Amino acid sequence: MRIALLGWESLHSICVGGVGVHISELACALERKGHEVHVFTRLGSPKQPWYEKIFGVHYHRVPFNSHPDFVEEINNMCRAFVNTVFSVEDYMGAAFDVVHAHDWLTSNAGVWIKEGRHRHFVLTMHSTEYGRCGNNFFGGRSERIREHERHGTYCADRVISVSDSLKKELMWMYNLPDWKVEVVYNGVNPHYYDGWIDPAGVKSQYGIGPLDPVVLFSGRIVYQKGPDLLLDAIPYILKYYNNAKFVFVGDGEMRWGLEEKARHMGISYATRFLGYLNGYRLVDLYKASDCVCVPSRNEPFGIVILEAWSAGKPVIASSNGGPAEIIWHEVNGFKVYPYPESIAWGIGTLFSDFEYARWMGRNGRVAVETAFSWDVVADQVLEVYNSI
Amino acid sequence: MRKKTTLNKKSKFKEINLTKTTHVENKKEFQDYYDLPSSYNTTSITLIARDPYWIFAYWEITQSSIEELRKRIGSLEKANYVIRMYDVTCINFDGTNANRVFDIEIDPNAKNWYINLWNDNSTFCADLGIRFPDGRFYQLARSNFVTTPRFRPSDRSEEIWMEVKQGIPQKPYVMARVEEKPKVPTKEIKEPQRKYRRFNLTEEDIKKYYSNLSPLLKEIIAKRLARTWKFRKPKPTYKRLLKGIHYIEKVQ
Repeated sequence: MRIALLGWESLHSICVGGVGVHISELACALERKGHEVHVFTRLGSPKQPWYEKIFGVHYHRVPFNSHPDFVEEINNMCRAFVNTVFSVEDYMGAAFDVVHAHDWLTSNAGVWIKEGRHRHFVLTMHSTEYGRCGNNFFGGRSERIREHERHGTYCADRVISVSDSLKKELMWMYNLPDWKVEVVYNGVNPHYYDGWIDPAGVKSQYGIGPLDPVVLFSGRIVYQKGPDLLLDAIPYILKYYNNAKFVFVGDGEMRWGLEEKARHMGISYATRFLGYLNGYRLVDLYKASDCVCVPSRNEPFGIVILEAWSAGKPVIASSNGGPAEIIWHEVNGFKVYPYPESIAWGIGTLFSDFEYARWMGRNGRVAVETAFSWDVVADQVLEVYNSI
Repeated sequence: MRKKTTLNKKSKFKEINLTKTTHVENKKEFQDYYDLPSSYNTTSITLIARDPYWIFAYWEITQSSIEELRKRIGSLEKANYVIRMYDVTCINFDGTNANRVFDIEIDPNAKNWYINLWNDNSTFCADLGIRFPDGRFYQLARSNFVTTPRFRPSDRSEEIWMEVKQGIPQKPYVMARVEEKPKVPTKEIKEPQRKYRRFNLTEEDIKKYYSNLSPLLKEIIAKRLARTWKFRKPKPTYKRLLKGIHYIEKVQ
């Protein structure tokens, strides 16, 4: 099967967030199953070649004109994608069996390829604009992006959503039929988190004592992810575990406000705001922490949970969206309500019995290796391709 | 004023009993709210720390002390009344070695003043005096030392270690409150131990649960298991084998 993946980011061009990881890993997994995979992404820098074969996957980096208006610029990118896909097809003398676009950013390219040459068009929705705005229907640019999403999901042959709650959201907002939307959970590469480290050494880098219990928040510090809920929960926990430390990894518009709020509450000594981290430093933090907290207000899937489980850590996540589906309560994590008191209950219960917490972390690792590896994801995606 | 009694201690009770009625008549009415005297006839200044960034100062200057000064140095024209603040944080102050000095010009009739500081957690002392335009300063009174509180939690975030030996009774490091022993002997109250639901789960159970998560995943993992069963069981059933082979063909 010849597959074209369209993505505005990938690990080998520009990587902004989880979508880039998803596209690159999925392409590799599909390639491992013996398919010909072409990835079309943006040109990261002028130094990068326009075509490259990486781990058996064909990467086409596409240049395009910039535009002061973001949505127009994305449309420019889509036009450039369509042009490149068509010229690649002409060069090969063969057609793509499936064109697989990711998110609203590349949905228009898929739509136009389907209009022009009648290829099968699959669209993966990683989140919705409604969720990204913290469950709000804003006007202006947000409204235009929603129109993009509606148009893309309407024209697609199949829509893949990353969780059941996102599927319901899509069916509610964009009036999609049930048969059109398939649920394929995200994946993670658990072997990236293999190995043992000295937790005390990692903790001492951030001014944390060797035996202090550590809660990790990893994600953009924005309203959608609810870091303020965790911050409000901190006093409840410090009452009983006065040496607990809370590490916030990530950046966003709420970061400085939160730091100021922590200072006002008098708990800044228990918090660490580290900004954006990735690579081995983030992996080490996952391994050194005692639990990972995901207090999101709207979470389509929550790859953070998979990363935590890969590192063998239990998860405390708010029970809306994706986390509610993938967590088995009291077996590999706690489901809590998105309120400070409830989050404090989860963390406090976990701290009261670390043996139990370690057992939950081990279960998480088993779950990740069973159902959330990229090979499983690729199998499911192929199932969707074949069902068209 | 109450009448002073010059009586022996022994006869005191009798005396009071005898003069009971007159005593009550002479008693001055107790006033709950009364004005403080406007002056105590002393030249003095006192500092009080209001909060980390503010100090309250109040003072009194008697006419006699100003007269004394005038006798000593001549006319006091063109001179200003000032409070000279000394920052004496962490030093042994002898009048000259202050970390920092600043003056505040005051009206002597104001009698009190709020002084704004630009750092917290520091010790201050003040001189009340007279300053001439050419810089000469004559002290009238010196204040007490005040230390302003810290505006933030303590900088000391390091751990404090203590040695715990078995068998030797040691005082707890922090005594939040002293718990008195109950006077009435009661039965030992056992705290209800928290019990969590312990799951006797194996890896297989977790794998089974997660392979049932979504219908699409269920089929795929069933196929995968069918493929691996070939190696686990010596004699696989014909159907399972067929499924596995079919799947491999389809992918390739």
